[in-house]
Amino acid sequence: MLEMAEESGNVIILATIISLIIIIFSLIALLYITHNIYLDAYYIIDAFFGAPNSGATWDLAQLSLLFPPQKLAIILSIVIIDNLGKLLIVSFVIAAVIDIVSYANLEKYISAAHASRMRDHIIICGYNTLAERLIMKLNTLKKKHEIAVIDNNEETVIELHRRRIPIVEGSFTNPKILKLASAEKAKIIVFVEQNDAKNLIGIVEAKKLNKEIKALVRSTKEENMTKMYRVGADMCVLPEYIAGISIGEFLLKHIEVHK
Amino acid sequence: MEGLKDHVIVCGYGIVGERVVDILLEHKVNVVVIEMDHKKVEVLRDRGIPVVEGDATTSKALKEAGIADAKAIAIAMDDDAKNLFATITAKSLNENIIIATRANDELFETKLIDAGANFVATPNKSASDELFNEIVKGL
Repeated sequence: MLEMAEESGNVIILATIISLIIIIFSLIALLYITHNIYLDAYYIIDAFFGAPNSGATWDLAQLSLLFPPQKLAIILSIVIIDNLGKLLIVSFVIAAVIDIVSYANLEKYISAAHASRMRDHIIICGYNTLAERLIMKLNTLKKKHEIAVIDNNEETVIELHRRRIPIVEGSFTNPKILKLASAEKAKIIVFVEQNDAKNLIGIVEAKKLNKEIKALVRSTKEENMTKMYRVGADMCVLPEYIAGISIGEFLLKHIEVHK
Repeated sequence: MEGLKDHVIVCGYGIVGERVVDILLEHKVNVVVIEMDHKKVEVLRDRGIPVVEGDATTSKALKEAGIADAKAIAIAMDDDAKNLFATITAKSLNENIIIATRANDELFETKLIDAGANFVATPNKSASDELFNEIVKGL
């Protein structure tokens, strides 16, 4: 992500320089082409409407000598075309600015900047059904807590930007990415990815940055749960295990137990 | 499974199925497991747990596990479509059977209930509840 940021930064600078050069050259060329025509147009307008204080007022008789009707029509046509040209340039400049903004994906940096300013927040590593449910439940709390998500899936990033959930794009096993999510100032970090190895590395890296952080993790295998606790997890859940318990408890309640 | 009555059939011996079996055995409930994986079948035989080697979505395997006389069935396979299929088959073979099943996808929850399941456990839902409670404690 850092490399991407650097690359996008270079592109922005280059695109801005090129845009400015094009605009300056276009304006100089236009000025050169239209300068005399505008001077003529000024005399025409002055003659028609008068300019009492300018001292340069022409009367219509002089004007008709200077500008025969054909020339008058040509001058006015050029003035109109020139203005249309300027309108096109303005449109081009606006389009170029929009293009630069969308290429640089500013949303990504705004979102990351938001996450980097957080403190005492909750970081959710990996975005899936479990994370989605968790965020939904956290949003129901009366006291709102800031949440930052770390994920490297492009579609997820777009979706979370759309939902205005701060997201840091990258892998949570990377300490630089954890720092971007302000892990050293966070209160709780939750690893919900269905990859025990990645979750394990995530716990190690998060605890290195912040010893006080509460690390909650999901596991996919029972045998990995002790490993999670060994590296510092404060709680480890195995979703299938919990589901098994709830099915078992339901059956016990509803069948006659023969001892 | 001759001679068994009011027993519980457990379909699938993965993490969910294993936990269900352990809980039921702890309470001295008679259990029959239906499992396709031969290695798991061997493990169950070593533990002395009655097992039918076969596909729990078929009437043949369910009949072999004594569905007609069973009190309840736990359908705990790692495939929502298979769980739905097994629920429908089980209900058609024993209308009074209690069915508890699992759904990975929450969208399947209502489908399973409509098919006759009495209880549906959703692993992600259960896990998010546990994690949420722990987060709230730490805030």
